[in-house]
Amino acid sequence: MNRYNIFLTLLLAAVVATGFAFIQKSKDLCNPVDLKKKTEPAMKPYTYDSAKMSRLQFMKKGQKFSTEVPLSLFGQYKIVFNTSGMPKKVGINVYDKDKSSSKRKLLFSNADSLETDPVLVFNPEKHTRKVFVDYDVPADTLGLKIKGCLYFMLGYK
Amino acid sequence: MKKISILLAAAVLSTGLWSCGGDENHDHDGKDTTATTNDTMSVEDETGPTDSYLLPSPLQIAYIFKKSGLKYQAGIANDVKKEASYSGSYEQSLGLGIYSSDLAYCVLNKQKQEAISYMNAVKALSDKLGMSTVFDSESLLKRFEANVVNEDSVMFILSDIQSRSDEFFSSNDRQMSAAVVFSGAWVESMYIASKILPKTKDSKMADQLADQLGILENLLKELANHKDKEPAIANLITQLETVQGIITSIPGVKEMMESEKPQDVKISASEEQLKTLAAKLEEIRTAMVK
Repeated sequence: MNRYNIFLTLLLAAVVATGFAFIQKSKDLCNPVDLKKKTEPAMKPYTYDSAKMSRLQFMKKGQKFSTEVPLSLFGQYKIVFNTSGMPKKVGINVYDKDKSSSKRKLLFSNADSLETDPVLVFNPEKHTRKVFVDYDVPADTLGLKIKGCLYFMLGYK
Repeated sequence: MKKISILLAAAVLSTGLWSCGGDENHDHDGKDTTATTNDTMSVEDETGPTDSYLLPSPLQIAYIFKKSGLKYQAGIANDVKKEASYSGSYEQSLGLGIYSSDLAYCVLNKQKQEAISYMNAVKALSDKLGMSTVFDSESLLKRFEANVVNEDSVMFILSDIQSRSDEFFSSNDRQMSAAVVFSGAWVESMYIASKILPKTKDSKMADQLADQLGILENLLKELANHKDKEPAIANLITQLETVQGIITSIPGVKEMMESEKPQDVKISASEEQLKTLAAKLEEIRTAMVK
């Protein structure tokens, strides 16, 4: 094999490796900077307060976890969820009390939302003290090891 | 020769593939985005994500107090010169939180020079804590100085800084630092409110301070997640639980917490209870600012 062939082989290998790198990068759905940029437009005209990105992987058993969000009786709030980092739908339910309370009321749910619309907006009623965001991750029955992330942003005015 | 060519191609390919998979813990800015155990889970983790507790921004707390009539009083915020004396990441994190609250307090009360001084203290402590990416461009500081009397613009800049800080803490497995920073911010805000609200007409001080209980509950739960990593956190929790106890003992507060219409519940603190609360907040804050 002459030098020309070596050069061609190396060039081909470099192209293939770059292609792999590009494909891998495009699969990176959990970039907090990108998710923030995608979520911010829905937050207007409220001022950004805080955000949380939860990474998760679907497992054999379904999973549930929650985020407690304290609010002020004297403020007005908007909560925006961005599910574009999740390849599969995850249940999002917002309650007024935690899961130990039998009296808790459902304030918001994404049960009827379409997977094609990853940005969900919830405006808690004025004078709400706290909300409890429950995430319901379905079981991975096919063993696909799907992983992704959920992004949450809180704003106020 | 053919073998050499194959080896070279394999080397290039493996380098390329390594570069794909090797940076899964870094975002596009090169920052580490390794997941934390509290709000995230790793690929191998079979226990699943755990419950988490959101902590608001110091700016929001200052904004709520401002909306409730909290006026500016010169000299009440922490001395900006103390910034240089804070050593160790715990003290510096508390200091960052305290100065963040002081900054928000000055901005919302249009105190231009003081706000610039506090912004510099916030930047200095952020740099010491390895958070220089939060202020990665000098233009952010220049924009702040140019817009410091324009409330809308400066609120936007401060919320941008908050957002960058949140990204930093989340991306670098620094949830403990975030909780300690917020502890400093919350104590400073409550200290300022407890000093000024009694002098403010129709301030409904007890309502204002009781309103903060939901945030305090979250802070205590979040700090408890980190008490084994930093010895000072256990004492901080004890101190903050005392504050929680004082506020909860105020007549009406428990009812407010359980009520469907918390805004309608009357909270009637005695002067003695408010003094006890203010004294406890001052004690905790004094230990923090030293």
